[in-house]
Amino acid sequence: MGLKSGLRTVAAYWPIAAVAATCVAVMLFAASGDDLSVTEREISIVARQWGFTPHRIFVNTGDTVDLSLVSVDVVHGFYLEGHRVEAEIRPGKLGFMVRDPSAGEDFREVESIRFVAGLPGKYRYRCSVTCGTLHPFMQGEMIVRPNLPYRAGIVGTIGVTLAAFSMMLVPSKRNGQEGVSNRETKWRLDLLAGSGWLGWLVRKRWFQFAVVVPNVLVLFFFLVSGFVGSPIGNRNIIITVVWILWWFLLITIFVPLGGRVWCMMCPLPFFGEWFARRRLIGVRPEAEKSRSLKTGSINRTWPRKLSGMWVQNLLFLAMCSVSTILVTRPALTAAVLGGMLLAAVVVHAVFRRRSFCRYLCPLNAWMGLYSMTAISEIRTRDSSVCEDCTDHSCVLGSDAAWGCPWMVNPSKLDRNNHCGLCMECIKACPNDNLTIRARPPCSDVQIHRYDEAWMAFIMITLVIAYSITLLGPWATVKDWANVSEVGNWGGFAIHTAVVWFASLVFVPGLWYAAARLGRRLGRGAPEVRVSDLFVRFSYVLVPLGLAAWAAFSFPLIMVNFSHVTSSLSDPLGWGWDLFGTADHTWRPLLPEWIPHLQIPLLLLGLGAALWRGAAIASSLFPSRRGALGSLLPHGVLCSVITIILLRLYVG
Amino acid sequence: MWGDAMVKERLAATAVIVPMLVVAALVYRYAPATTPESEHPGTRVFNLTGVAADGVWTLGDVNGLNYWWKHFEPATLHVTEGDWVEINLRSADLVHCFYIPAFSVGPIDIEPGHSRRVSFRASTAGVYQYYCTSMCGHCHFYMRGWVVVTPEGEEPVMPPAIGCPLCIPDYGPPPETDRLVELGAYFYQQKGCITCHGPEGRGGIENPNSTNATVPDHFTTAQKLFLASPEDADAFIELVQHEPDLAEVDEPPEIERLPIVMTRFANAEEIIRTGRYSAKLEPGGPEPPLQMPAWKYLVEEREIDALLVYFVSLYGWEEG
Amino acid sequence: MRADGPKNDLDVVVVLDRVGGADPPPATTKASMDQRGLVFIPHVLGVQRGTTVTFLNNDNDEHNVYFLDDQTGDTLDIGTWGQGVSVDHTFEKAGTIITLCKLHLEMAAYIVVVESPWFVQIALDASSRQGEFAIENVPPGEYELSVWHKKLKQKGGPAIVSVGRGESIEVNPIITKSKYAKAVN
Repeated sequence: MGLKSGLRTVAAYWPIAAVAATCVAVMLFAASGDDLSVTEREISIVARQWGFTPHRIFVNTGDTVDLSLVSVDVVHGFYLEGHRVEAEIRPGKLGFMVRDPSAGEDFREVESIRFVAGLPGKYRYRCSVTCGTLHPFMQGEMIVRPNLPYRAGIVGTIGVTLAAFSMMLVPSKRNGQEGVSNRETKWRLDLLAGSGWLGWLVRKRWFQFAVVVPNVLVLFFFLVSGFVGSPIGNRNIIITVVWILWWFLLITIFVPLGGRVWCMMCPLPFFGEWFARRRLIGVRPEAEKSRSLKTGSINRTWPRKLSGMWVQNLLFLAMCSVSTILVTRPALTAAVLGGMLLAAVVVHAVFRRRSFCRYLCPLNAWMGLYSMTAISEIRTRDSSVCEDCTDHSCVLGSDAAWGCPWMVNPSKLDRNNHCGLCMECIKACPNDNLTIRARPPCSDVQIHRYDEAWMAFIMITLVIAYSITLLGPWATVKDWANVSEVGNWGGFAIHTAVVWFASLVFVPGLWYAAARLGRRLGRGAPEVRVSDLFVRFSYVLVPLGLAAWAAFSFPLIMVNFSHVTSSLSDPLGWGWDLFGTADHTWRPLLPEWIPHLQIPLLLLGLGAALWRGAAIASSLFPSRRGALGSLLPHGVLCSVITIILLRLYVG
Repeated sequence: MWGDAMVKERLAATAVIVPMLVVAALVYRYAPATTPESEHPGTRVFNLTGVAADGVWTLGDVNGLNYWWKHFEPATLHVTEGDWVEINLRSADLVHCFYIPAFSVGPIDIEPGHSRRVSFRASTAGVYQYYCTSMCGHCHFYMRGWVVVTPEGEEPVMPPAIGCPLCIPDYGPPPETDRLVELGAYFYQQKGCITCHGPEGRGGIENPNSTNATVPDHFTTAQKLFLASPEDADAFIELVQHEPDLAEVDEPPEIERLPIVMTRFANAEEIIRTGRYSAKLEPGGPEPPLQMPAWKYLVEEREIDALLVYFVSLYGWEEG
Repeated sequence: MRADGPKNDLDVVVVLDRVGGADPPPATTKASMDQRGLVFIPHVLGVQRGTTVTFLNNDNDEHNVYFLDDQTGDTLDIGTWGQGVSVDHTFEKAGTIITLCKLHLEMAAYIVVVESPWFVQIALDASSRQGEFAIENVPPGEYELSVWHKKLKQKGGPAIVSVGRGESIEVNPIITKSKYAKAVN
């Protein structure tokens, strides 16, 4: 590498350097326009079910704050992140009880508490005494100016976007082989090669049974707990584990690592599949030929018209409209999960294979989409072997294994969306041609259909809607969503209408505008239509969406983790103490660090979105400029979404 | 059909069904409703759950399902004189505080989802009240009930249960009027004042071990405000009705000792705003259960005016 | 249990004010008023102008004392204090001072500040509504005899009485509701 080629490399990457310099400059010299002098402030916060007034307060770093707290209905708590203030506020008293939560002190009665505002950023104050159904979401925000993390996030967003665009102008090192196809020769690692334990395990007939049954028992216990246990959400294991722990694990571990690996161990279709197959472990080929309940299932084909994602899109939207009520009432969660279990039994009895999972389960929509980002996949080793195969056991089944219950053709499987990792095809293939492979993230980029595109729009809109409703400081929005208790049907109608309209019309509308603009700006491929851009580019919302969902779920797990551990000791909220953790005080886990986790996550998601978007653009448009032009509007939309999320989480 | 495969299937089915039954059995066995009796023979054990929506401590089982639709009844605890009593206390929603001053049980905070146990000996016969002493919502002030200790061999007394009248469909919204006296009468019940200060401000509600043996009445308010006659009282009510901020009265009406009346009125407002602590009559005895809360953040200023003019209107001038 | 006693209307103060002549010298005596069981004790306290009254608090609770001048309507708050503490106040002006506690509206007492040292405070008998009083060592001269009661007025207004050297005089004032108590001219 001589000086000349070195300089050429630098010259090639000049856009990135320019971007980086701009970002640093903006960051350092941006004037916020606020008065940042250190002062003393007197702030009075009123707590009511289920919000604080004021819900957002501004202080400067180093300010001394004289805080007084009042409750106007029931006993509330107050926990200010990062400032060692924890209070208990009783209505009907002019003072309140306060202590330093990290010092293990007792509460003492005061009229007000003084503290010094810490490092710049956003700190939330939350209710720390269970005060009713929406207690876990009762919070407000304190902005300590200058809000440097927020500014850094915005600058990072702009920087990532500009860097991604700039990179598209840099000539690819792979001699003109620009563009990405589904069969690109990228890195793959065959995990079942050789005689490893993993291969041995997944080829056992009892493998799936062994991973599902614990979940079946857990689900059964949860249903019992939901119905006969405590009505208090954070004292009932069905709420704490399902909506805090499991949801977090699903978003951050199961899907990114294993794609639809939850489907492998999901207990919901267990009973339905058992009754239809009449087997828990073994194979019974007659089950597939059955036409009556006597022999298993009626095995009808799911109606074509309902075979798209629309049923699940709408079911997912409906579930989310009532999610505020759903995630705070144990009995309702139990009813929904129990209902899904019963629905699965019925559907398995009437329709073939995993029709419930493919066409009805709302979670299928979410997982189908985001499994495209996973770092593992099940694919054929050598496609030519499948061309010569006459058994087609992977599809039809054999004496050794069931045909793919997910009704995909494993020999032609090219993306993760519908593969439930049940391992039947691996067991079925007579040529041992199917395997599990590790792969780079976001390797699947193919979205071909409108219903899947809409799924991406719905998901990204919903994560914003959840962040506003559940994780936001606005008590009125929560009251609207909590319609069964508060009774504001007008507000609920507004809330539902806005969410449905945004996810089904507004966001897709923006995307359509971007597609049209991208079609104008993209050059050199006249056969590419606006609809191609619209559908293909909707994929970029997948990595961004997953990062957003992860950023959404981190606060839930970090703030509420102690509820999970205490409900392990007292699952039904009856006063048991199985492991000694039942009476532990609620303590959030490093909550002041949450924004510092969310910002990199969102930037990572944005970067991945733009990186894969670039790959899609290059596959559509041969020239670098043409590809960039087509991606530009969509990329800008992605950065806008990122900034919206940053504003909600850290701004 | 009896080969190895079917054995595996049967084992697998057992591995599913049996643990489910075991889990169900364990849950049933250790449910609060079926928990075995206390170790001390002859101890009466009660399970009380605080329910804010109905404003009751109830003996019934409160679970995830019935919490939402069932109307829970307040508990009356019947024991025999001399019994040892244990009460397992739970809250079904938010923080309540359980207190039986007669037996110095509590006041003990019951946090939602945590179970607390209290015990005492029902040493003296009689009818005693238990209270919730931490404001827990609309029905808080009605969250009281009875502990009936009956001597051996006698018939137990059946005091009427104290129910909350606020959450029944018949209890209406505020009257459609701006007349403060009518609004005050409404607020007097709706905010729960009536539970401590008596119907129509008559007083007479017991407050055990308080220097005020009964909670002060309000029907003598006109006298305490130094209003001299029914005409003066009516004129004063009109004054408050029309002049929200009494300090800005330009042409004061003809009321005897009006400055004194207004000073006393301001005192009364301040007492309502800041509450008042009832000290113990006997320092070694239990804390009086009925304490006047600070209503400053719980009611509007105009509502305080309405209540006070309602009290003024209650005075029976002939008895003066 | 509080009795109705302290709030009774049986206390009267009978005063002899010299007509004409020099004003009698102000007093240098002391008196006290306690607060116990949420009442002022005594309910009526007659003192001469210049007396210093000590206000005690022997109650479990905090108490406040403020004065309401019945003639002018002025108020004077002398503070709020807890058990065991006491505060003094000297009454420089004659008149009826209503003593109140702003924390406990049901508490009220009357301090009757009189000009002359020749007064006596008695309690009427509850059933007969009559009482006997005696004021001794009165210098000879003309006096106005007035009877103070918190609600009732003296029938006919203050009576003029002449006291001679070494004499004993009997007076029978009647107090009644104000509408019957017009001065007889």
